[in-house]
Amino acid sequence: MLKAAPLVLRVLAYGTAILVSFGCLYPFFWMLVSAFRTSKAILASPLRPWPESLSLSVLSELAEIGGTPLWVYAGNSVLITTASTVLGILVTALGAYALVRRPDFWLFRAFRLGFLATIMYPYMLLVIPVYIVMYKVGLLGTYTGIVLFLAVGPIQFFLFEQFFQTMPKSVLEAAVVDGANEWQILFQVVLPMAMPVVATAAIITFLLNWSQWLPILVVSKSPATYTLPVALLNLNGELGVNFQGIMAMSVLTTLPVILFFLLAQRRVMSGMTAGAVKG
Amino acid sequence: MAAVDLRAVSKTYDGRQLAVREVSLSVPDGELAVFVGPSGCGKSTLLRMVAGLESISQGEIAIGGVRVNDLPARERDIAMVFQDYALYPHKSVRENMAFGLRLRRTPEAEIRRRVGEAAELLQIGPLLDRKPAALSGGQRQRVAIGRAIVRQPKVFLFDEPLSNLDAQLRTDMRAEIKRLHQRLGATIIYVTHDQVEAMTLASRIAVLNAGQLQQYDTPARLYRQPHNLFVAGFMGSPPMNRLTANLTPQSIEWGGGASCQRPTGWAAPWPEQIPLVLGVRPEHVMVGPAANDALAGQAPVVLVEPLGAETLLTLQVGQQTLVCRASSELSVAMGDTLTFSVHPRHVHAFNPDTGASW
Amino acid sequence: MVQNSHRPAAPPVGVFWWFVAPFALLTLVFGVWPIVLAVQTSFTASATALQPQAKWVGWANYAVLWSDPIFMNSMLRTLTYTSLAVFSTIVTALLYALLLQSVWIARGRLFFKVAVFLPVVTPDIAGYVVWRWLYDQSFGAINTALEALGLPLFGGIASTSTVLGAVLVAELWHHVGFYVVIFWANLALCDKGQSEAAQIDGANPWQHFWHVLLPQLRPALLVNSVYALIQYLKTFTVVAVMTKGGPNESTNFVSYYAYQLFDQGRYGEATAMATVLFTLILLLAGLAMRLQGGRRSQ
Repeated sequence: MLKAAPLVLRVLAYGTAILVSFGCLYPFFWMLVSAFRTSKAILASPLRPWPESLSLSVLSELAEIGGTPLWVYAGNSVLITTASTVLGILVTALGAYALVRRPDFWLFRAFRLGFLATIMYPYMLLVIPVYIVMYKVGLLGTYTGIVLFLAVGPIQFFLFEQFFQTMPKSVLEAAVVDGANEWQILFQVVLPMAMPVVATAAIITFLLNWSQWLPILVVSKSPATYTLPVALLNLNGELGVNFQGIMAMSVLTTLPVILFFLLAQRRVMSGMTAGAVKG
Repeated sequence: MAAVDLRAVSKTYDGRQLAVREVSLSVPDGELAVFVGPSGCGKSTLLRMVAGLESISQGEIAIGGVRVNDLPARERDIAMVFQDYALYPHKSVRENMAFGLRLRRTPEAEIRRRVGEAAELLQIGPLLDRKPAALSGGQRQRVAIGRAIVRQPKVFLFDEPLSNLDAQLRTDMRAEIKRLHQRLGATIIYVTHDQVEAMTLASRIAVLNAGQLQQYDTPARLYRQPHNLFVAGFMGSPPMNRLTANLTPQSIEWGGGASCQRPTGWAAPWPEQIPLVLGVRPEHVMVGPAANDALAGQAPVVLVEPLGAETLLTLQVGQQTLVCRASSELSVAMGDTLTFSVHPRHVHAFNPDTGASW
Repeated sequence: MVQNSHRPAAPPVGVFWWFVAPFALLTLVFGVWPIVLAVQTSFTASATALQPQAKWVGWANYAVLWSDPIFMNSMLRTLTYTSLAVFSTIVTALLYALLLQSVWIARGRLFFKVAVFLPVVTPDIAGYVVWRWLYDQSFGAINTALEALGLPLFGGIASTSTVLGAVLVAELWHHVGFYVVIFWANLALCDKGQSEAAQIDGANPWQHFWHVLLPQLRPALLVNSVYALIQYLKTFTVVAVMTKGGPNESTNFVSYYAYQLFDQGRYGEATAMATVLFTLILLLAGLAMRLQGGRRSQ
């Protein structure tokens, strides 16, 4: 830039940005503070920026929600999210690879279209027929059913598709000339090259799947398979006035995601928006 | 090592586009053949058909006498050096070179030996444990060549390997490749758009244009006896002067009022009167009074380009221009009128409609 | 320059079947089959939907929807809200991205970027739960603060006149960051040469934006507006957590209404609504692809 910006404008600019950031971050702050305060205290002075005491007694209250221990929900979240992430990455990477290597094959084109149609469908409403499908294949209420449903998602697919499309074809051809068959090409040449994308996709998938709630609610037959977000929803409805409990639960649900995100923010941000930016 | 034979090879895309039209040629065992031509002429497509990376629409390709049309690339015993090197980014130099051998379950000792030899030949020994990202363009190119050498294939295929290097490096690598060829005695097919590379490296050159083979000959014959206008204009830098002229019983008319005397040696079987395209290489345009029976004339100088070792002069002959390679000792300025002459034996004649040479 | 008109000899499909199989299976079983099933169910009587021999009723479910004032209102409401949401999201995101990318902010860009993106990755349930309590009439932080400042109280999600605004703010909080990052990246891709030429020509910031940046951003703005449209048409979680469709059906959007019907066992009508929404989205997606394709050919 040829000249420095005037001070007034800079102050206004920073002021606006700080205001916006405050608006974005305040809910988290309030959530965190409230988790440590009793419901009475929250009701009395909601804006107090620091808890009166750092009591963790709420955790024992939370320990039993709707008859199921807290650690079951937490465990479910970890288990279901991890399993669906691992499965999803594997399945989607292989699928995207095949579709990119043979885009002209009509059946592959059909698979891709089917996938696109699936992600177009109002996701929340997909659970209605999926409920019926789960019923018919007998996976209703099982971890397997939930994990399978959560496995495929648009962002992972597009990340992999984009990567495989921009991978230099000559490296693949060099491997062909060197004598590799398709399995060897995939495992010894392509996948090592794809590691960064795999990492990005894995992190994003984990973040997104952790937040899922409706599919799990619908497919579950009992709270035994609920994850943290689902339990939180129930809590919000059930214990109408236990704010501390609700906030503590929110913190529990949100904290892992935030930590994960902060550790890899650049990757996550560029990965999640990759499809939309390139177009 | 083996010979490569192409018989009426064609390539069509979508049943319509003819990328390669019925090319036939043979590369004898141990020779370095260069496929050269402008962008889109089909030279890379042809190379990739030999490699097995493109299917052969029509015709036949044989390596070592064996028809390979239906053989996949990995079974043709060929090695390829790509324009962008195509090194495996996550493998070390050593592993890049060893990969093909490992896939064929070559014994470890043998792999070590071959990699070592190739590394020494290409002087990349100290780089063996580095990854491609840590190498310069020239080094990567050597590794790509090394990867091909260790395979000890029947045929080496080079796809514009020097295009991504800067000018100085290109000159050095060109010489290295020539030395390698002499050392290894390998059969090499080399694709390039640079006719200087073609001239310096090739045993024989195949000039291609729009998918068709124009001429397949030694560099010398290609240069001195081009079969058509395209080849004449493609080989040589600065390119051959090609002027349209009207041959009459007494003179050669260049158009725009310029003309010169028809050489006496140009009697039968030359027709009395005919339009022609005449070609003269710049180095054959002499400045100064003419010897007997030479094509001679006078023309003004419209451009002077001093190159140091010589000077390029552009003369205005009627409506057309004639480029002349003159000695740099000559002091000439724009606007001067020069006398020029060309010995008849240095004049090429082409049919103005078909481009074929007389 | 490598010419890339080559289409390599296509490798035999064989191996790739193995690679694509699990993906294809999951997509078919949990994607395509449910969609087909949903369309099919929309033509059956709700009571019989789960039975092996469902009763075919043709367009009856759709007819019910057409004559149901709740559905029509819901549709209208959804479209209104969605348009409003898309407009505010895109405009806010663009303005904020411009601000953050501008010369007036020299340091701390990453902090602002992360701060605005944090709500995007937050589990939406947790986020909306907090917002619900922030909006509370008696002790929500927002009204407490307004009271302390002597300003009129905000009706939040309790009053029909303010609930849409309240929901919108909450959704903006959750979604805007995504678009800010997208526009940020698009801005970075803009031609610096043109901007410098404009500066030399003496353009002020508004002229610079209008004549140099906006034309370059137009395709991205269009495409992302359609994405946002599709995203907001599916508004669901915020309603489920904060308002449950109320007060007085004022936030009963189509997707939530459909879910309510599903909950009540009215499968036929629920899937009919879903199918309507799906068709709408497909049309919009087709529009998006047309716009994108146009952009690529420029």
